[in-house]
Amino acid sequence: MMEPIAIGFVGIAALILFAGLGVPIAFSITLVGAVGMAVVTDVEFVLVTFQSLPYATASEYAFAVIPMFVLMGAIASSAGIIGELYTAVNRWLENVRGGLYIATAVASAGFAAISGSTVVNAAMFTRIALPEMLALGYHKGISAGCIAAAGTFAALIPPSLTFVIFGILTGESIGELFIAGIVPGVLTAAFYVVVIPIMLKIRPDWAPQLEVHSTFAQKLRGMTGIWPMLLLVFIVLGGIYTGITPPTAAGALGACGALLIALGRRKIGPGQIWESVRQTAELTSVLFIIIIGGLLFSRFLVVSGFVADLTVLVTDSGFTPATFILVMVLMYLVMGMFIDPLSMLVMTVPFVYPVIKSLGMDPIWFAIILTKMIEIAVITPPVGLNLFAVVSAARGQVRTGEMFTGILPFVAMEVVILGILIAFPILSTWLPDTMH
Amino acid sequence: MRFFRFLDAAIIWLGTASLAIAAVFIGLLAIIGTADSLGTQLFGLPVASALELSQAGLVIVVFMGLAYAQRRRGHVTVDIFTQHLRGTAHAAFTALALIAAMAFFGFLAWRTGVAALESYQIDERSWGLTRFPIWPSKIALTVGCVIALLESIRQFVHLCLGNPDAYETSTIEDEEVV
Repeated sequence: MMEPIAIGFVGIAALILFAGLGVPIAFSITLVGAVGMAVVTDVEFVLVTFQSLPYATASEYAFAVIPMFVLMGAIASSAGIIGELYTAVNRWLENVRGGLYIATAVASAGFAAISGSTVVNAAMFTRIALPEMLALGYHKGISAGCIAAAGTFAALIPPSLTFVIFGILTGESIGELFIAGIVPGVLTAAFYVVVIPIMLKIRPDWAPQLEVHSTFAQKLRGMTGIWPMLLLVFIVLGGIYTGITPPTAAGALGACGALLIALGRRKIGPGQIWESVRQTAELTSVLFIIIIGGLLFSRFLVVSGFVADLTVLVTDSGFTPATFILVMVLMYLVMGMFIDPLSMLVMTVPFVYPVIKSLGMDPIWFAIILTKMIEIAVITPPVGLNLFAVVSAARGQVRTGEMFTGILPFVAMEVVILGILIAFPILSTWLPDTMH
Repeated sequence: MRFFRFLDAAIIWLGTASLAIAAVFIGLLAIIGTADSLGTQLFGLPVASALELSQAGLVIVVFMGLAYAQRRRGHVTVDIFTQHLRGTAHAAFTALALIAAMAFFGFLAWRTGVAALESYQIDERSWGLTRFPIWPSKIALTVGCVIALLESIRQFVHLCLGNPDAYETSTIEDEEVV
């Protein structure tokens, strides 16, 4: 019989092979997990696990947070909140050099508080912001890069689907993870707001200086369309922070509230409601079977003895938490160049999380670091989902090559922010600690 | 041939109908969650069996949307090595993905079907003040898997007949969410 470590690595290698051959990640991870469990235990164990685990996972009330927040984002998106948010922010920044870059960052952070999807953020802002940027003579690659990078804020600012999936796979509190993402998310957006003007001082050719003057009344009028949705976000996140509403109920409240606001303002019709619900249903199914597969794979790694042996191996080999984090950063950055973030999450969390715990690291802090690495992964060529989302939504206005070079300053910014978050764990842990 | 066309249309219809059921339950989840939350906080009146209804509703949402996601090839795939393939090589890898889909949905349908049957036979109900029946959502889970299995078989048959584009594809916004 092989050593547990060897069995685990064979399982991981088989998973990478199947996924690399184009087999959807949900099927790859489930089938490898099932065969692995049959090998290390017996067939009966696999049969019983398949009989109980899918229902147990899909009937967990806390996990209903996924469709609720997806629905909230889809409705807000259909109701045109992004356009209004972008215009409102832009009016205040129109005289600043590179104001559209900053407006994109701020508005994207605002929309991230409603939507949990980085790709949706990037694609939607491409349609709204990119034409205006290009018409005003902004640099093509930097414009596309800014939109792709700002789209990633959705991974960190709650309600983030990355946190929900991490919470489900590890058992960490989804509410605490949401709240933990607020400071790093706002910090990231603030970093963009500060660094973009500095960047444009060095390269003024990347954005023109515009002379447009909206009156104060016009600026205020621009805000009228967005405050109901922002109020809703405040109520939803406030409810989670204070513990008045659990994340699932807050999500339901958010979805119904978004629909009522959109209906009240005549911004949504039956067709858009159906489209929002259809997207939510499809996405919920896709996410849940990946999660179920991830849990099965995780169970295989546990029953094979791989997790226990790996934990002992890492602690015995003298890895300090700092060294381990460094190894993780390198691993995720390299993986992120080739593998999509969701796959990366379900493939690695089952064995990385126990090691993190055994090294005495704060799992909430690690979730923030992991999410930041995922943010970087989705904007790192050659496989950066947000890059493709922008190029695809730009409909020929930006070429892939321009995108790949335009994203580089933002990747550099993200790496600096990652360093800050690693160096100062309190930025991630302070707010959730105040919940207790 | 007419029979196969009928089967093809019937499977597509089943996928759409099950998606519509999932959509209805998404709406119900939002309404129940809101009513329960507001009722509890404002009036001290929670919705009776809100937890059990939400649990059953979530199972239906997850598994009734599967066939539609399969039809639109919406499942997350790492396609860095396969995206540039054409012709026979592309068809071979698509066939592999569909065989995996059939194995996945078939196995899941079988095992969850056994669990649903046992649950029905013992009239399984939740513990609590209201003994909410569990078996209907377990049956829905199996039905969702069976419809997704039929959809995978339909796609595989189309692929074997040299008609690989006989099913919808999703847009980039739909494919990735994290």
